[in-house]
Amino acid sequence: MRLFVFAVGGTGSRVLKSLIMLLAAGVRPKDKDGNSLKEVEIVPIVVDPHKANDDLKRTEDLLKWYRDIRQSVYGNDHAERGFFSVKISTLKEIMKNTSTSLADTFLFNLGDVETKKFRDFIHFNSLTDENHALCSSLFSEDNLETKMNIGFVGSPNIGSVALNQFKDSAEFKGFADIFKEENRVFIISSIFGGTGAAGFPIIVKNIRDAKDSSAVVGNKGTIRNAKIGALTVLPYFDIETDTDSPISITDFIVKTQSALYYYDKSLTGDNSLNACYYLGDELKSDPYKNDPGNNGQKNKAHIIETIGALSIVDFMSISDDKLATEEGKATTPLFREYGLANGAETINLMDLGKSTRRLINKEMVKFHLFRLFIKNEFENRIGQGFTQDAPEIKKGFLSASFYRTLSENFFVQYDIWLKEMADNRRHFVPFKLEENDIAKCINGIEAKKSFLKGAIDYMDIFGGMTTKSKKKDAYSDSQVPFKLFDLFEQVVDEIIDEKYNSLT
Amino acid sequence: MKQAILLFTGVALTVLFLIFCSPIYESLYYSSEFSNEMYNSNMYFVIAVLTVLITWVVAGIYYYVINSVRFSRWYHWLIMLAAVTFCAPTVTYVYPNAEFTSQSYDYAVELMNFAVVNLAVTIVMFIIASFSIRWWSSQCRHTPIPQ
Repeated sequence: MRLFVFAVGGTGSRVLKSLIMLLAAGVRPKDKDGNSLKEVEIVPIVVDPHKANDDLKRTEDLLKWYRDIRQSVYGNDHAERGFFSVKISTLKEIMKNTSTSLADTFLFNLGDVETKKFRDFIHFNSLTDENHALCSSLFSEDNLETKMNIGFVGSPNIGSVALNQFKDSAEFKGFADIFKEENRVFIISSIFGGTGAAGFPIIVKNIRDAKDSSAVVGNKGTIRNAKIGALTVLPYFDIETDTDSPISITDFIVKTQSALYYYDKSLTGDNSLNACYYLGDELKSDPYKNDPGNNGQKNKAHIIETIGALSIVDFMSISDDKLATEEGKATTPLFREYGLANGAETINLMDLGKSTRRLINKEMVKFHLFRLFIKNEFENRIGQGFTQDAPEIKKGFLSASFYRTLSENFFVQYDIWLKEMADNRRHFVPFKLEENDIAKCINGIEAKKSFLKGAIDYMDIFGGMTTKSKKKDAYSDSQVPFKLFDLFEQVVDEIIDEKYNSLT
Repeated sequence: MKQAILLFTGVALTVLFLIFCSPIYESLYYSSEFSNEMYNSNMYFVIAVLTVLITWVVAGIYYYVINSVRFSRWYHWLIMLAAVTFCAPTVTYVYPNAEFTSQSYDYAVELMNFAVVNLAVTIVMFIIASFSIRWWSSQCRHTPIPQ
């Protein structure tokens, strides 16, 4: 299955970041029988004019690192299980690099929007008197003066105009050309800001109206009947009060109500979506810095974004027959919300609902143990045990780009992601971040002790990997990174089943 | 295949050692009266069997009972070698010494020299045993040097 994910605005980028972390951990969509879907590919398209947005930059870096790591481990093949197993590609890649107008990037090029003031974008000064008067009534002077390279500063009325050029972009045309009936679309956006609230309906509208679009050359029927899912994130964080800022917490609810009303009329209410996920949290975060965009906008990761990322996994897990679309309308639209099993202010993996625990707990724990293993043990063990089996893992492996990307880039961001979620409110603290003892590092659950061996330690993992590695010719010379991943997962799968069997 | 050949070679060398233990020991250390007594009382063979048993059993314990990555560095193997080089010559000194003492012979000095020689034999035999059986160890197959 190929899923096109449009991540719109800052929330879109942050949810996408959480999705990358979950995919890196090996979380995968499952079919109705609970088996992992085999051929899964995600094509993220980040739609945000605010290219200097730190949230966007962090997500873009993670996407690149994920792709590089995955390429080193699995090549271009699909993988059925494991860390980084879900394929992530750019639009240009899946077009086999045939498009000359597309850059090999995950970012949507918004052209003029990213360079102009809104006033210039709509040619305000050259409008007829009537249009001038109309625009003056629709847009404030602040709106008109907005430099859109910092986004739409919480003003969906700007975004709904500026993003209308979406359909004429090379990205949308490329997407329309390559889209196939078995593919799906997912849109991530927040409802209480500017870019997401405006971008979401525009993307849906352009897909559903493809039949009448001059931008879509072929494939019109397929595009129009695409299976579309969407995550609409309701207010979940607080911001500092700043009378000079165009963004105010008091507007969040009003904007949400207005947008929901609009969606009810023209999106959800008219069956444009096959599946819509609503997510929010009444418990607000500690106030974020009130930054309309000038200072980079770097918000801490939040559990809502991680749960939001799960909506994408859930959407991929829905069978085709439940997402039927006729004449651009979903026949049986689905609407979903989310609840925690325990709504405490500080939660861990055991506070998630059962289906979520089954979906992510084992994978998250495995990945965290892997992170600790790489950080605290692996380098000291080179030249011993499984590292000496063919293909050998030598000291030079530590300076290979794969290993450096994993340990110096990806895992650093992983640590930051965990720390930010722990610091944010509601606090999501799945792991004890300063704890290097793998028997004690998971919050809410400790490893069971055996009668003779006690709890687990790194050497249990390393020894297990060495035992599993005994099989001759299991890995080719080009599969050194895969060997590391595969052996670790085989061993830790068994350890978790034995030592943490209440985890799921 | 390589492993099977090495096992076969190790077993063959060990059997050859047991068969030709007397000339081997005498070529390494000869003192006419002591050596004659050792030969006549079949002590060379007993000592060879004890040496082989100790080295192969200790190697087996290391690779298949201890069998742990926690104890799989080359210096861990050296510890086992040190243990075996202490045990085997000690046994091969104590046992014939007791036998000779019961017969009122005093070969303490010769036995000490012979024990030193048998120390070298023990080292060689432990290496042979290690390189014969280590390949199938789940944790220590790369000890003392990688495959």
